[in-house]
Amino acid sequence: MTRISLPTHHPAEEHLLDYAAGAIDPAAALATATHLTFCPACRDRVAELEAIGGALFDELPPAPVSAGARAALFDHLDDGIDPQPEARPPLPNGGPLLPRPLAALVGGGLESLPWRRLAWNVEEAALPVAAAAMRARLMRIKPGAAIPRHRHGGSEMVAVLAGGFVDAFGEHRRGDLAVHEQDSDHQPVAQAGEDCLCLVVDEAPVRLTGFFARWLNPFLR
Amino acid sequence: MTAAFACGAASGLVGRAPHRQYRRMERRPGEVGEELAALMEAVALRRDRAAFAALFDRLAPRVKSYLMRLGLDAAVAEELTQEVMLIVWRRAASFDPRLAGVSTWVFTIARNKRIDALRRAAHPEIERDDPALVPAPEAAPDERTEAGQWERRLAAAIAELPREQASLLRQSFFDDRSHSEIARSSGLPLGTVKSRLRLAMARLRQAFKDGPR
Repeated sequence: MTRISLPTHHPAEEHLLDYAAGAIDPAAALATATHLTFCPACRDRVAELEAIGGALFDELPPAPVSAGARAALFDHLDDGIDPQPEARPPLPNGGPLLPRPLAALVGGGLESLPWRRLAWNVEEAALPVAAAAMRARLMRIKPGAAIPRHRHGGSEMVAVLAGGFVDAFGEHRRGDLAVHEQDSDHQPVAQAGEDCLCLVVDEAPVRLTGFFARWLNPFLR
Repeated sequence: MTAAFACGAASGLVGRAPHRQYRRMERRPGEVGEELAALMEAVALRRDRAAFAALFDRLAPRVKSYLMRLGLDAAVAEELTQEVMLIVWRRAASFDPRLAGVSTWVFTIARNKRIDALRRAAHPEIERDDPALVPAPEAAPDERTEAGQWERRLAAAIAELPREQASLLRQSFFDDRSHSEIARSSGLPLGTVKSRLRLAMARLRQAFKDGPR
């Protein structure tokens, strides 16, 4: 019996507003779009926010468009209809089905990414997001592994793609989006069963805050 | 201008009705949403150039205004406006009035076009045919059948917002700043920006709850 579970951790209203307004960092937009693919409730909220954008757009004082530009456009109307983008097959990575905006970045599949081992049970692969000031990467954590307790120097978004993790904020599974504000402090533990795969987008390098882990800080980027 | 006139004439009598609707639209803004949706349908089903001309005259100046408000100079804004309106013409058939009003749909096209042009990076959109998409559990689309009419309620609800809340909303949509950047540049505490935006959205969401009329 398959049951599609709906996410329980959602971005705050103001994050969805940034996304709907197009004022969000492209890497954060990617994490948000990943969550939206899995979350019909947040898709509805974004549709409402876009309707607010539409209402504000409608109130803008009109800026006249020149007759020449208008005529030039009408001359081009018969140039042809946009071909609909072809339905692309899911990636041949054998891994979890990824939302399209993310799949496009992953390209040839998860194993083709430049994975870098951070610890024996944690690895990460950077994802280059064009024009992003924030940093995006995939993290893969072995079942049951604990990430050392750490504090964020800036905000962080974690979208779960497979497996799950538990921290003080609760249980996170595929589709959940955790948003950690600056200076929040947590210690996630991957759940048993399968690898925990997450898209992590953050603003600034993290600081380890546990007693022994603090010695590791110089080795982190 | 002459080309547009010729196009309108070519579509003949069928093309005139939308023009009449357009004039009525100017007098009774309350019906704008429905009128625009009817014009979109005429474009989608019949490639009706006169209907598109009416859409253009209503929407293109707002697209240009939106782009200029976001800092583009007039020439670039006009060029992008042409591209946005060409997308409206070409993808008219994909406009679904159950999901969004016409102004909202065109706003999202303009938003994405600006991001593409300025950042050379696409705004990651949710595609309804994405195999990874988790659908809504119930027949939620039925509840959303008159999305276009929300715009009207929303305009009234926005007009009733406290000034500082409405101002933050406009900055979000038109200043290309995230809520945390707005806090930094305005000197307001981040918590104040968040709580004002949440209050504004709670009030506006009531307009959705109350239904389209």
